[in-house]
Amino acid sequence: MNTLDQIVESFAASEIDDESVRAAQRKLEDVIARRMAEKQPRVKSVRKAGWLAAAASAVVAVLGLLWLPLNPTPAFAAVQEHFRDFQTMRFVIDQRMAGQPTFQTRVQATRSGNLRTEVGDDVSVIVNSAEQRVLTLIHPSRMAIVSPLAHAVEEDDAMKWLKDIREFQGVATRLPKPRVIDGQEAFGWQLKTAGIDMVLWATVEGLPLQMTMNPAAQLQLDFHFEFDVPLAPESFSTEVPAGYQVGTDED
Amino acid sequence: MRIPILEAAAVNTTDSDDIAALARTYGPNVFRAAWRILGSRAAAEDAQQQLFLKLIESPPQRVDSWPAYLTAAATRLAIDHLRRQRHWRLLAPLWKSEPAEDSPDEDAERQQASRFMRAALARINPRDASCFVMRHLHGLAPAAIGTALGISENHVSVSVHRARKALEAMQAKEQI
Repeated sequence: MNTLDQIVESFAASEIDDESVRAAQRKLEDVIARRMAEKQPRVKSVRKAGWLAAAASAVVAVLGLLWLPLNPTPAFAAVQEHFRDFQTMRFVIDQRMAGQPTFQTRVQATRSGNLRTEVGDDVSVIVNSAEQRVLTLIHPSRMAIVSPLAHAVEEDDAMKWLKDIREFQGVATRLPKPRVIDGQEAFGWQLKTAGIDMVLWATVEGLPLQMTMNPAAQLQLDFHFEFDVPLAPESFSTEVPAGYQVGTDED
Repeated sequence: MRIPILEAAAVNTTDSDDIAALARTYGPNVFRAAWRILGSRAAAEDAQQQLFLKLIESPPQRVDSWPAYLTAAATRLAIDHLRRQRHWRLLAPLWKSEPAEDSPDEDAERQQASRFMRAALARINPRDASCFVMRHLHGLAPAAIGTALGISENHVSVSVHRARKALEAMQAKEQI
């Protein structure tokens, strides 16, 4: 068996090739240039470019006014705002492996940080931030594990993607064609956070309806959202239900 | 090989132009720091871009050493990414495949060491993991780590020690 130092030495010995470093650097500088261009105050560019640019801008503005009422599209900021400012959120995650459905995860969350996750039919995880407790129920063996809530809910839990979307500052690309989801016209946004590709569909007001995520090759997660629906308070109780035996948390 | 740590003067204020200059100077080191932890080009590129875009939006007021600050930030982002990957594995127990790494021709021992370290760093306290990585992978001095993270040098030493104990316990359990 190796010592930890040998393992660390071996881990640290890997080197990335220079071409990959250069390619990453080119992409980084492109992204920064785009972001800085977005941050330039508009008045400055009009002054610089003179009357021709101002006239062109006026034409574009008029065309924009004509076009906007016919094709209203939400800004991605409005979509983010819904994820930042909700009372309750309920969503279902359908997981697919190599295109084949595997199982479903159902999540209920409240603004105060309570969370209930049902993984398939076998496991329920209830986080109650007021009680600072986590209850894990393993239904087939009727086992209940109660543990203290050691970390902030957002730090390492099922809602990490939510923090990523709330804080996303990169470029979200709007998909060209809207689609209809549950009778509502939905606009698609493509983005990448923390190495994960996602497509988010939201109404014209920015209300998120669906999201598709590919956290790994062959793995696809489809989210279906509902916001500000009433949730039963007892869903977030960390009392051990009758008929369940209290076990220990080995993880 | 450790990532070279360059000298840099303290900077009090930062605007977008400064961040662009920082990205040109330190971008490659940030990418290497993230890649070393993540083992994936795509994930390291994301961490590198995320870091500099965040700096443009919310520049820090005062940074004593940009290389240390950026190494610390890249390390924390990469560890967060590992933790997220771990979470997805917990949430999706049927997902058995490992994320693609960039060096399929690495020898088996190095692959095993890399897999163990990534899994273990995702499990321990994130601050302890960051301190350990900055100390033992990036070769930063405890004082520089403390300055970059805003904690005392003593706190850094305790964190590194705690991480080492946790990693050694995991190593013994898994018999790597």
